[in-house]
Amino acid sequence: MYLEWLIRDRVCHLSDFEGVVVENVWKSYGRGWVLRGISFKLVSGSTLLVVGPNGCGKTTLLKIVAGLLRPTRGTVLVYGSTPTTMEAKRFTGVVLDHPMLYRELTVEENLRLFASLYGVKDYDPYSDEVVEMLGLHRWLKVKVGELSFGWRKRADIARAMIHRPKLLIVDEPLNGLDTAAAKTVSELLYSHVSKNRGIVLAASPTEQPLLDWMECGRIVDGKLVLGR
Amino acid sequence: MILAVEMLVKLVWKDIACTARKPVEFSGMLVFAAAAAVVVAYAALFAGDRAPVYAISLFLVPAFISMFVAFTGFIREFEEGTLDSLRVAPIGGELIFFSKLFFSFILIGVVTAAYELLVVFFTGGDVSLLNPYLQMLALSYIVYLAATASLASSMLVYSSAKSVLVPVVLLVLVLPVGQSYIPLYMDAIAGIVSLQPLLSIWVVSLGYSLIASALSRTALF
Repeated sequence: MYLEWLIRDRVCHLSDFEGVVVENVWKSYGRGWVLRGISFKLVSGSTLLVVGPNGCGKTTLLKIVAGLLRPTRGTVLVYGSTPTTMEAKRFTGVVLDHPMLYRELTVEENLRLFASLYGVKDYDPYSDEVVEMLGLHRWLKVKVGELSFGWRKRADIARAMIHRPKLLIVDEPLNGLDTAAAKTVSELLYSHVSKNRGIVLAASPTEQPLLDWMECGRIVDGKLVLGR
Repeated sequence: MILAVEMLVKLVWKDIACTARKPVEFSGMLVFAAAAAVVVAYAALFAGDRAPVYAISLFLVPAFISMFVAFTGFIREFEEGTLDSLRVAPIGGELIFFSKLFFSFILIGVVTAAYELLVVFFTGGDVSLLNPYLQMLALSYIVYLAATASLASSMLVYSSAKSVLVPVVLLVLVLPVGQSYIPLYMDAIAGIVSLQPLLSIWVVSLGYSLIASALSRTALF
């Protein structure tokens, strides 16, 4: 099945496509297929919420788009480049199901480190609107290892958005957050999209109500099916 | 180029800060160095010729330290989930590898230096282990060990048998070049200085580091 979201009404070559192109992606870990020919296009400013039961391949699909896994077959292009290239990584922010910050460093040190790795000049976490929106100000001087899971998750989202990526890839962002924090993160993601930036997101069934503004696709038997 | 150097410095600083704030690992390495120094000093005091004792210890002790260091490299990043944050960042695999190599070099170098000073202390002031030519040889060996530890760490990061395979792979990779250091160490302790083997061994160490960098990219990305 071939799905297209909000595609502009013109024919363009895949490598010129302003967004994400996933074409006929298959993935196997050795026995059987996890993904079976998934295809979609995602233009800037649009969203894809991938849902499905545990083990259906949501995280696998996200990791392939993020360049952390290679598809067994098929093509993935992020703004015209394969996801493992530096060009694609500059456009992408990734949040996985586990926080990816250094536990021995403070939140501020982590953010400053990743700002320099993403080439963000003169980054100041104290004037970062994402940090403010997530309520991280008072935790900036605290070591990540001393934070609760929810605050670590919020700090990780701030890390992924430090360079204001054109594409945000997020795996279960609301998992482990209380209701207020989940609402804040949902609003943050909404404001990200409103700035003409894209999101590919995987969510568990409990997270879906707060993300109902997103275009949705279910993974069924390794294939992506449009709709909730 | 300047940006790459800046990133390299930040990555090495990050590893140093993480290790310094996790004192158990570093203290453990120092305790190992002290225990090794006691044994070697004891053997040296009773040996007729101290050169073989020192030479073999300078081959073995840094090699053992590099095993610990291999576990603090990519393997620790993987276990703490931070390796993925480096893999998705727009930085080259070589840069990440070199940052680990530099950090490993610093860590092995510091612990080896502590070991040497402790040997001097336990032998009651025998400074033959500290001669500059010997130190230049030892430094090139530490470069080689740092590259090997980083390579083994990157190769085995996804292996479920890494706790066994890291020491095995390290010893297999270190032995062929490492054993050639023993006669050079013995000459150095005897006061025989020759620049040609010193240069050769540095070329081997640096060349190997570049090859290891290329290999690690394949393993990690």
